[in-house]
Order: sequence, then structure tokens, then C-alpha cells
Amino acid sequence: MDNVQAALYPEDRWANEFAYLGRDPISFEDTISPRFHEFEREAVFRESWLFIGRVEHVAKPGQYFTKEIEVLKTSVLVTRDQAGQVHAFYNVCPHRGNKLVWDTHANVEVQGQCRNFVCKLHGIGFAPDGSLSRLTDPSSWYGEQGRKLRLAKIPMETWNGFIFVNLRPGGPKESLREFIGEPFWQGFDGLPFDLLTERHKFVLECNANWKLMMDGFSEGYHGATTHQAIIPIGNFFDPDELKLRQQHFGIYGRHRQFVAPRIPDGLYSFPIEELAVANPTGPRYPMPFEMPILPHGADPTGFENWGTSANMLWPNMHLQVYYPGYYVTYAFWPLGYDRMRFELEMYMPQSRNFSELFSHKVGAGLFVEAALQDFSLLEATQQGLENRAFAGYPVTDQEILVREFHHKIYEAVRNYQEALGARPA
Amino acid sequence: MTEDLLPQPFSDLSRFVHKWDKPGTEARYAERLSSSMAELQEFHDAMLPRGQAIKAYLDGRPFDDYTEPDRRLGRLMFAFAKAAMAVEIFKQPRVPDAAKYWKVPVEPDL
Repeated sequence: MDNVQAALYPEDRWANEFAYLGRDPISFEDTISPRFHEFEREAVFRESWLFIGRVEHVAKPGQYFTKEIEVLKTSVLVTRDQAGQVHAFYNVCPHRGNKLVWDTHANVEVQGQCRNFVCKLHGIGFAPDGSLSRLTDPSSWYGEQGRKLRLAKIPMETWNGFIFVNLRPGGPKESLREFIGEPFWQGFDGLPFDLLTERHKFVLECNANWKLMMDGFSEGYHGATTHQAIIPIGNFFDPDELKLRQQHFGIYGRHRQFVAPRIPDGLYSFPIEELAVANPTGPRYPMPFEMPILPHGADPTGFENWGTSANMLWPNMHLQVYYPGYYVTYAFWPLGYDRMRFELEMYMPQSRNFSELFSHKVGAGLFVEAALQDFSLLEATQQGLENRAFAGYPVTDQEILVREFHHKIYEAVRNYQEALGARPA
Repeated sequence: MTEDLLPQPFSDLSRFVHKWDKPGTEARYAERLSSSMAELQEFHDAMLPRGQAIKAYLDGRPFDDYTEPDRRLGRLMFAFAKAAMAVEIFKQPRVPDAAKYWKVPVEPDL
């Protein structure tokens, strides 16, 4: 390495900064053990605030959506009542425990707008504030049992319009503010979330442990190989090691962050990109606001050539801001120890004309097609790990966030098991 | 049929409407998968040189004022973008190594 590179990227830069992580090869037993997964459900998901949507998804009174959290066997109903307040309830009728809001298939999420939720079993109705609106056969209930029926609330709080719920028995052990902590809690103030309301939502299931996708999005190391067709990276950076290196890695409690530089404006690899003004990081059409640097929680370095800030919130939420100023959320939901559902939502400014809409849709299309390539690899990685060919895997300095994430996963499960007095998985 | 499928300056592209005018991203990707590279290439090569003119035309009025031919032209552009990914980037209809496509429950469209 020459002197400039050596100064910017000393050997083991991140292992030195986060010395508690060590340099030893790591185990991926947490990714391939069904028994571990059962503990992880409780230690990681039951104990945490979980991201399930945004307040704009229930923008108007009467609007609602349901969220299936299979890993906790919980269905959540989010509503906005007539007074404008947002609620989260168990999506369960308190009479005989039937699932309350669903359409053709009980396990499929729904959304809409209505005045009452009517249970399909006996016709009992509930208003969006959870109160009883219609009681079937009033005289056959004992005492007040019928009249007192109401939906069961789930603790819910918001951060920058993101809705989080907490399913811990006995209630949350900390507020959402304490859970998210700084620099994130206040550190995204100034990001124009309220201007970014054009929503593009993509959902995919795949046969891999949820953590493999989190790992995949926590490093740019794979970009030069996995995405070599759609992102010919030699076009953008010097053909040396610098192209793979991130600007900044951050670890804040159980949350993680990296910041990376941008693909320069006006640099296109394909005619469709040039026509649409987009590339696989998304639309490049000018935004209706300026963002020369990111708010400090998204980038403590104030990097003027910022291209993306990726923020991984414990346990399974990823919030990533992309130059020139739109953002995506990822949620990785376990459907089993070796199966997951991935939800990607992209939030852009409302398109004011066709050129903007075309840039947005083509940017989203390039993005998701690149991500599709990640998915097939995940299934191969799951299968590969299950060979148990190696006891440990030598994760590199640029993959420090992979090391950190699994470190915290093992720690959470170990703490949970010690509290229970259980034997380790 | 007496009604024009597309706005008059682009009526020569009407031959592509029957195959490529689909509602939404999932349907457009499915059509791409069921097409040959020759079909994708023909559609792509006809649309690319008209792209700037189509954008300029559709930028000329608010979305609320779009006629059905305007919307159809916009959808044809979205389908062309999907075909372009196959023709320009992947050299095959399907994203390489990808077993399946996304569900797209929410998206803006025309």
C-alpha cells in the first residue's frame, strides 16, 4: 500500500477500534441451529422494540394495517382512530380468540379504511380505538362481560414516524428512546421524512436464516463480485483496494452503522440508466431539497461525498439513506431457522412529473434486481454453512459489522439462558 | 379500432401495446420472463431512441390531465425499462441466479 492508503486504512483499523471483538474466526452456529433459533425468538425478538411500519400508512382516521410477526406468533392491528390517535392492538377478538382482521387467507396482511372491525365468527364489532361498537346477542353475556369487551393494546411508540411495538410479557423493559439511544434518537432530526412519502414496497421470501441478509447489507465488500454485472465497479473507482472500503463504521450499543461514498453524478453504465437518470443505488433525479451532508446521527463524520448511510437497528431493522436524499427500510423476519421474509420499502419524494416518476421507478427497479442477486446467494450460503465443514470463519476487517452483529446475538441468547438457568444451545 | 392506443406522435409504437402494456412491476417482469431475447431486443431498440421525446411529451401536462393513451405510453416506458435490464445488463430475461421475483404490494404507477 502507498503512504496515502496506509494513512487512511492502517492495518486492522476496525479491529483496533473495536478491540473487544477480537480477530478470531467466528462461528455461524447461530444461523444453522434450530435449537438456537428457539432461544433467539425469545432473547432477541420478544425482548425488543420491533419496527412494523410508518405513521403515514395510517394517514387518515379509520385507516389500518395488519402486521404478521410469525416469529412471535403475533398478529398486530395498527389503526388511527377518529380522534387521530394511532394504536396497536393484538389482532384478536376478545370473545373466543378469533383473528379479527383478515381477508381471504388468515395469514396474509391486509390494509384499508373502515369504521368498525367486525369479527367473522359472531359479528362482534370494534371501533378503531379498540372500544366495542357492536355486541352480538347482548342478553346472553354474563354480567358486564360482553359490554366490557375491548381490543388488547400492545405497547407502541414512534421514532421519526417509524412505528415500533413491544411484545415483552409484563411490558417493555425500556422506552423506545432508551432502546434506540443516541446518536440515532435525535441524530436523524433534519432528514425530511415528511417529504419522502412516495412508497415503493417489495417483499420476498427465501430459504435462508434472517441474519444472513442482515450480514449481506452490512458490508459493501461483496459489491465488486456479487453485483459485477449490474454495477461494473471498475467504472467508478480506482482498480485497487480503496474501492471496497467504507468511509466509517459505527457501533452504538446494539446498533450498527456504515457510511460509504457515492457513485459520482452523471456516471452511467447503461443506456437505460442515462435515459432514466438512475443507477442501482436508486434515482438520481434532483430532490426538491438540499442535503449536502447528513444529520449527525446518520453520519458523524460529515462526509461531503456521502453516498449512503446504512443504519442497522437491533434486532432486524435497517434504515439506509441514499444520495441524493431518499431512504429505504429493510426488515428481516424469521419464518423458521432457515427461512425468512424480507421487506424492502423505498421512500422518495412524490413525483411531480413523468421524468421524476420514471427516474424513481427505474431506480427502484435497478435496486431490486441487484438485490435479487443477493438472495440466491443467501440460500447457497445457508446450505454451505449447514455442511458444518468449518468450526470458524475468518471474517475480515471490512466485515467488522458482521462480527459485531453475531457477537451481540450470541450475547443476547447467552444472557437469556443464564437468566433462565438453561443449558447453552 | 378507431381510437388511438398511444398519443399521435408515438402511434408507430402501438404494435408493442398488446404484449407490453401490463399493470404493475410484477406483471411486467413476468412478461419479460416469457419473452425471447429477440422480442426483448426489438422492443428495446424501438423505444430507446424515442425515450427523451416520450419523457418530454409526458412531462408537458400534470398527471391528473393524462388521457388513457398518455398513461398507456407511460406504462410502455416502464415495460421498456424492464426489458432494458434484460437486454443491456443481464443478457438474458431472468436476473441471473435469482429463483423468483419480488411481490410488489405498493408502488406508484400509471
